[in-house]
Amino acid sequence: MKSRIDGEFVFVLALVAFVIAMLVATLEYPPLLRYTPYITGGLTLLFLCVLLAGRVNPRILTWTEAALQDMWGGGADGQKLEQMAEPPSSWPAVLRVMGYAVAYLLAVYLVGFFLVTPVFISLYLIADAKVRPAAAISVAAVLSFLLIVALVNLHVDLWIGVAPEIIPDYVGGAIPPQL
Amino acid sequence: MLDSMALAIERLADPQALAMLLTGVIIGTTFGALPGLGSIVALSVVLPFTFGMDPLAAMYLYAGIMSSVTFGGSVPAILLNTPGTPPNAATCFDGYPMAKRGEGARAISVSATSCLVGSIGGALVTIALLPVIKPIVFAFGPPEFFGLVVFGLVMIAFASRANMVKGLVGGGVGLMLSLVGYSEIYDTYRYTLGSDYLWDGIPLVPFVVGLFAVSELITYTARGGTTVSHDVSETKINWHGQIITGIHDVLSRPVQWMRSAAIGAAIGIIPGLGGSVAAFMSYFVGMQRADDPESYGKGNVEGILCAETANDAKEGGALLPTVAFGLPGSPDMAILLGGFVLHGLEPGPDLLRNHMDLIYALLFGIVISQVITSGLGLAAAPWLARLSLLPNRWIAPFVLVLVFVGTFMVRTNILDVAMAIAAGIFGYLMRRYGFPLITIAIGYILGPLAEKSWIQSMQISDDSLMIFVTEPIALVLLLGALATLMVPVVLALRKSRARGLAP
Repeated sequence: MKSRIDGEFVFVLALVAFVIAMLVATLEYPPLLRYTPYITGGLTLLFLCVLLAGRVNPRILTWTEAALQDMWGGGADGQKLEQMAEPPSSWPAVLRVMGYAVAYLLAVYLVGFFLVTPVFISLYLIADAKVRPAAAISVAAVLSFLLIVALVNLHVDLWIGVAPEIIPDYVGGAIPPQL
Repeated sequence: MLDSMALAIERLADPQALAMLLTGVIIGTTFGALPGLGSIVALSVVLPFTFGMDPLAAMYLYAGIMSSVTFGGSVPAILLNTPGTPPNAATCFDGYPMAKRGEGARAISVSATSCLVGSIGGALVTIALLPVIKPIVFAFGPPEFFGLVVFGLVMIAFASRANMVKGLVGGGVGLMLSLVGYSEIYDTYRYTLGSDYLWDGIPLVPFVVGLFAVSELITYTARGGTTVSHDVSETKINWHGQIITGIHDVLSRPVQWMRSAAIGAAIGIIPGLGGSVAAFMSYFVGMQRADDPESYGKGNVEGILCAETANDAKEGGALLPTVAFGLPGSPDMAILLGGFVLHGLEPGPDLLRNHMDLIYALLFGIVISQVITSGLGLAAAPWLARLSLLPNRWIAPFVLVLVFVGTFMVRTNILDVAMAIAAGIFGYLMRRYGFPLITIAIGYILGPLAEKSWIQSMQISDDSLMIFVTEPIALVLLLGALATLMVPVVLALRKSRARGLAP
């Protein structure tokens, strides 16, 4: 049981802030709409406090967890299960994957699916999966073509991107959605 | 009744009928397997093309789609931890751990067989209940809904098993996220932060697909390697043998699949609950009744069996109120209702009196399509399962593209894709710090149903809680939920007291 400030501690604090913000916002709503957020938010906040208190005094979390396990855990051995779980990947590796996903999203938002999809697949296969460029480009082109043909035949209007129109109806010229 | 059944069976023998069923199966399986799509999109796409078709042929096409979507959705849930449709999320919990153990083909076989028994179970329930459906549907008002949903929410406590505190936090966070958006009862927008996009709340498909598929994609791509764990020897995997084992796994558990089919069909009958509730409810009842509940979520075949059987049985149940009263039990049934109207058929007593052959054709069509789907699924399972041997980094860009296209297609809103990525990053952080995703999903799916039925109950009764006592079905359901929650507490107290008295 850890008692130091780390990523998990920060994440739990963020959850606490989220729940408190929702509870405060609830004050504005009619009485019947307050029940669910108050009950749920209150209980969630209580358990989040137990998690935070467990950082200061690990016995608080151990005791609460044991009591809850006794009641509803059906004898599951939490510590044993934790040991069986895979160790998490390193942050640089995780951030790299998140970066790919966000970069693909931004590129699609700007230029649309038609152009970005084959480029993204081939670049990813070359840079991250270490596939030979010729093979990566061929696979990306064939799969993107099949996907796009199928979607066009289904009369799905694929997103073409908010960038100024480059190729009419295919790349650029979309109206940004209301956020 | 028997005449109508005979006529429906006779028509099914027509090669054109089988061709329509097969077409429906191919469309349904494909749409099911693509994350974010599903029967709603598949039926919507097909509906205009059936205009001008013979009504019976159209019914077979619809039947083929409806019966095959859930199996299609279970394949990526098992192999990639990416639910093809939201109800398949419950299949991820045990399917993916099986794939990691090199038992992907067995898991697909369990899913295919479970879908078949679920489909047959759902059809049987529908046929049996057709004459008495009216009182059942009308017996379920807001208080009864509330009782049923509370029963489901209680399951959050049991689903948390390995990490109770974090599991309960996850359930609470999921439930609170589900409250975002417009409340039609009070004509109020809640927690939208001034955003137009959030008026409709956090959309289901991007949230569930992001939570499970994107978070898993981040996990396995960052880790590298293959889905099958590195300590499993590839040469020792008997893909074909796993198919027989999977079929045996299901057929040797008649109690589990009968119970799951009953749960699925019953939830299908009640309008508004939907497939995700059926799959999750069946999964948790199965877990609660199992001899080894702690193995659920770690690759127990019963987990897949319970979820997929209920998922398919639900279709038969949902058909009942749709054809009997024109009251669609789910969004895909609403589209099917459109199909009926398109062909000049008005659901209700008239349809039951004059076109029973069409209803039986649809029901038998669902079962026959499921036989085709499961047969094809079993035949393809050994090859599909080999996907789990491909390096994760080869698969990642294709899964990401499918997630993007799938979530975009549902509402053709690019912001849904951004929501899926945000939900994925949030899901990854929850997963990394030990918060079980399953409880977030339960809270998120059941939260709005709980609140809506609670408010409606209060409005009906002028804010009197007595409505939950005077309505017998609601009372039984709430007492059941209370007993489920409190009996373990009492037993734990007794145990600790006994420990205290022991010398």
